[in-house]
Amino acid sequence: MSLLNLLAAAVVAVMPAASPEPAITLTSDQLTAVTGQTLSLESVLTRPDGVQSGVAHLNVTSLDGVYVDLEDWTMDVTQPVGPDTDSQLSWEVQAVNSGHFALYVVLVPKTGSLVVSPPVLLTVTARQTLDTGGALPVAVAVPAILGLAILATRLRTAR
Amino acid sequence: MSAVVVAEQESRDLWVGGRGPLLVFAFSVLLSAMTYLAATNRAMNFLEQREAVNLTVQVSLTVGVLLTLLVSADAISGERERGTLEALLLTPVSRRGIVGGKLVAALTLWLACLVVTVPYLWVLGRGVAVAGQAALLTLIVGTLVAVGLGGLGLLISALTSSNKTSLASSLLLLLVLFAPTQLPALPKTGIGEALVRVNPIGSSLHYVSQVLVNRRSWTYDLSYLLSPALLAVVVCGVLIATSPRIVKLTAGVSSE
Amino acid sequence: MASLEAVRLSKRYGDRVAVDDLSFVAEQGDILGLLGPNGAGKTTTIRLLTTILRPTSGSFRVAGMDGDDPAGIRRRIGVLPESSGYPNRQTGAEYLRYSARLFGRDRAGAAQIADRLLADVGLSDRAGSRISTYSRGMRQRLGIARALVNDPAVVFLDEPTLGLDPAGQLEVLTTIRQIALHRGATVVLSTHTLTEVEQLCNSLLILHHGRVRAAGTVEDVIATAGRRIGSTRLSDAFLSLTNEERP
Repeated sequence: MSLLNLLAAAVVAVMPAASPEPAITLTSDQLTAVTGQTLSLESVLTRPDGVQSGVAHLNVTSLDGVYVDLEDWTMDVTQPVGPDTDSQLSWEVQAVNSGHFALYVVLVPKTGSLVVSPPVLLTVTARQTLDTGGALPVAVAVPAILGLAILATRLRTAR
Repeated sequence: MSAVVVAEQESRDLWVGGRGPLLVFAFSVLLSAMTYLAATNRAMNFLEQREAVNLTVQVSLTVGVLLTLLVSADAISGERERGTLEALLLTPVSRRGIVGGKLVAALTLWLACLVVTVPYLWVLGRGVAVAGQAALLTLIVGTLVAVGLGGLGLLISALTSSNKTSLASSLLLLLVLFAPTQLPALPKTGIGEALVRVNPIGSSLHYVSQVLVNRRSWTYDLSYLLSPALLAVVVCGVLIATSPRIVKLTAGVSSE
Repeated sequence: MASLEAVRLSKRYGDRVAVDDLSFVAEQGDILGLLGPNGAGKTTTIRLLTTILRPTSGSFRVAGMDGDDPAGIRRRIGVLPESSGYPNRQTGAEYLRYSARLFGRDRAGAAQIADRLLADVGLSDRAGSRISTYSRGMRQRLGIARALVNDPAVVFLDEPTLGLDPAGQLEVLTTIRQIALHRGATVVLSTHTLTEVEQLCNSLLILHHGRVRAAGTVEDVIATAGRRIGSTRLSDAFLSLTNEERP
């Protein structure tokens, strides 16, 4: 190690450290899903001062220009963040539309400026989940069988 | 033993020429309409299969319990009005036996609803192997709720002076319990969580959806079953303790 | 030993007195007529003795069982309640089989009893018909058959001929007479109809406002009350006993 390096290390050690800003990170940066699938997302809030409080807000935005109704996607739009709350928040999101989306969490603190997480890029592929052809026979057969059974019993007792 | 005889005859009265088959038929029509819409409607078709199964379980549980509650709410006050209760009270069968038999008969309606639900669960859950789990879950959770609310229906029936009052009160009770489950978004902590937990229907539906949709283990939110279990135990306890005093020719709790 | 005994039996609903200080005895095989105008306390008396109501005070014994053993009493009595309802969807045979099973009979025994009793009350040919198709008289006879499923020691019949045409009344009265004659059971017959009492009963209890106005054999009651009014008819004796205190 050169003398210059040693000197620089000594200066850093004796200088007061600059207070780092709060930050939010998400546990993944890329996700894929099919329509209707429910996804879990974790956000971690780093609070250097330890008392950062406010409201955490999840947002979903389409990268293809598709209209996003946030209420359809999640019931956890906001979660309170206080000095005593866990730094790790869970979010549940249901992929309602197909396409490309960005998901991100914003902390709206009581004081100070917004803290925004990096986005998670979500790719949703369309899928017809329910079998229309299979549902119809059951939907017709069950009431029909029950109806016929009732009719037969009534006719038999009426005789 | 006499309770078994009462249960047998009450079930027979319900199912042979009684209201049971018609109620179950109406129930199947409702499930058919819902299943067909879920499978064909484009707006609903984004539903994941597990969610469609969950929706079916929730409707089955709520409507099945509603029918059970209505049958039990008619069980004592209805017999009073039809003039058939006195003959039953004149037999050596204990009042507890009468109540027990009537509750079991009302529960057969719930079990029939469950049996009718199974084909719908099968068709909606094909491919994700969730139908069996859903049926078992409905059997366990639904039976807990049906015992609790069916017993409550019997209590109301014994204590109200007319059959109309008994049926209306029971229906109101179910609506009061069911309405909060339809609120758009209760907060998941504090008062919101307490409201869900304390409501036997709300907590049961929450538990079922956690297992079916979110794929949690059966023990993950088991504490949510506390309120339906507690309701079933408390209502059965109250019925056992009070039936000798409340199952009588006139409504009320005073000694005759 | 008396088959039926009440000692100072009373039933009050708040301030209203339904039965007041009622005491009487009936022996085995007696047909005891319970007479009185509307609201006299006849039905309340029957409901007390059949353990449907609890007395406010007093005691009673029925068929050798003390009043504080209601299940024991219910095992030994048969009752046709006033304006009894019937499950319309059941057949007569089903109804009697169910009743017999409630008294502890097995399926085969209950079926035998049902067949025998339906024959006794003349309903064998309608055994498989729904009760909804029965006439009022047939229903009353079915009710009497039901009261006999446990071979009771005491039978209570509350207004069994109410609303029946003369032919129906005759059928029911014949059945009652046979119960006392062939079964040796004590019959308590509550009625408004004085001729029924004169034809059937060997003892009589006249109630008015919940109190006993006269008790004894029909002849004794007529003689005691008739002496005062100079009549030998039960109807005159009944009217004199129940009009005095009419408010």
